[in-house]
Amino acid sequence: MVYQGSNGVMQAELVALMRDVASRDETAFKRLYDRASAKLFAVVRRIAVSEAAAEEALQEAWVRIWNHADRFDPAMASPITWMTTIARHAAIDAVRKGSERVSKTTVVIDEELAEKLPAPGSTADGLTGPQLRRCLEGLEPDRRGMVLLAYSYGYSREELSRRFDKPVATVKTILRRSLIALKECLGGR
Amino acid sequence: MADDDEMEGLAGEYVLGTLDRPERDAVETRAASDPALRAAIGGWAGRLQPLADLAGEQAPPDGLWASILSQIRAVGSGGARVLLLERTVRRLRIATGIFGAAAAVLAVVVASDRLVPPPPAANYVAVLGGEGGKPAFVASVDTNAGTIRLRRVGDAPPPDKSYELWQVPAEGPTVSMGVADNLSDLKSVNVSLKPGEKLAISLEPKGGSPTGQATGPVVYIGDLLPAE
Repeated sequence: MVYQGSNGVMQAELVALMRDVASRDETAFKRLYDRASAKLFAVVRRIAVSEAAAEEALQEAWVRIWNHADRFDPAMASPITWMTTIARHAAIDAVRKGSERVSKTTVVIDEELAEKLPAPGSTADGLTGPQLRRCLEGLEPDRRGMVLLAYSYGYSREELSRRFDKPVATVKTILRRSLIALKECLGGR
Repeated sequence: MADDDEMEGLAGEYVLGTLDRPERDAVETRAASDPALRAAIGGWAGRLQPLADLAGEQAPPDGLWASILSQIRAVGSGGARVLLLERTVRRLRIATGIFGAAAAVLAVVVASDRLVPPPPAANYVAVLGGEGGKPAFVASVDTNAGTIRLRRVGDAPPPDKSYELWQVPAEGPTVSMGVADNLSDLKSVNVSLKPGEKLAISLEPKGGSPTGQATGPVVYIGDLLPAE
């Protein structure tokens, strides 16, 4: 049900660190930071409009992780997945605060993004990546593009509406249908 | 079935990041007391994680850790901080009487204009205004979920300053509820809130009061009013 990293030992260590962070252990927090910051920074950097904005968003993300670590539930998500959600939201908040994004027109084409997911059958990165790729490829190109731009680049419904020249309400409907289709394709997991 | 799809869609969009801030806050409030929604969110976060993994890794700048550490220490590392702020409150009590009636009227409007999806039963609302009487923040408190939603309707703080939210009981110590610089904030309530008590906003150095005391002026204040 929950995405598992390839290394179960590392996973267990991160869960233990999260627990210590929830009890306000700064040493554990630093270790968690050392483990996960490069990954979260890369995620945030894709969404933020500039290096400086990305740094600010990453700082905000870590403050939120510190403040809300007690809400982390290993039964619901892996630590990396939980922290990724927080970091992406922090980056999205930063982007939507300003209107700077208008200038960011040269986003990597959505098609290329899907190409980068491990091909079905390749076992390099567990099972989840290839399955997701297969299911994304099963969506119509516009739908796939919307999902990818939203997740990877933090596009809002309004931004998607402009880019795909569809009303905002339609974008919402398309996103929800695409998500349901993805879930079904992934076997309802 | 339809309800299932609705919840899945909401959880999926929450993870995708396409909800606007009030919608996202509403999801978080609801998730706090809805394990099925929490599970749906966890499911979506896991399902889509391979897309985040594609970003690879990029080392953040060296100085960032120090900034994070100083911020979490400044904001307070043990949950709510307790301090006395009575002097300021006494001074402001006179001013707040003037627009108390206006606040009550506004609170009714706020309470009836709640946001979809399914709004939690907020127990209190408060409209926080300054000396001119203009509302600057609207707060709604859900004591079941233990959350307070704060929406700024006035000016943003100056770039080098932060707003900080305080709970001001009728008697006894005042409690920091954290920095409130965003247009919309969802805070956890770690203290009991009662009608007649006040919420106040003080102007602090960026990142919040560094001392555990309110160091700047209380710029906005409002009474907690029953929402229903």
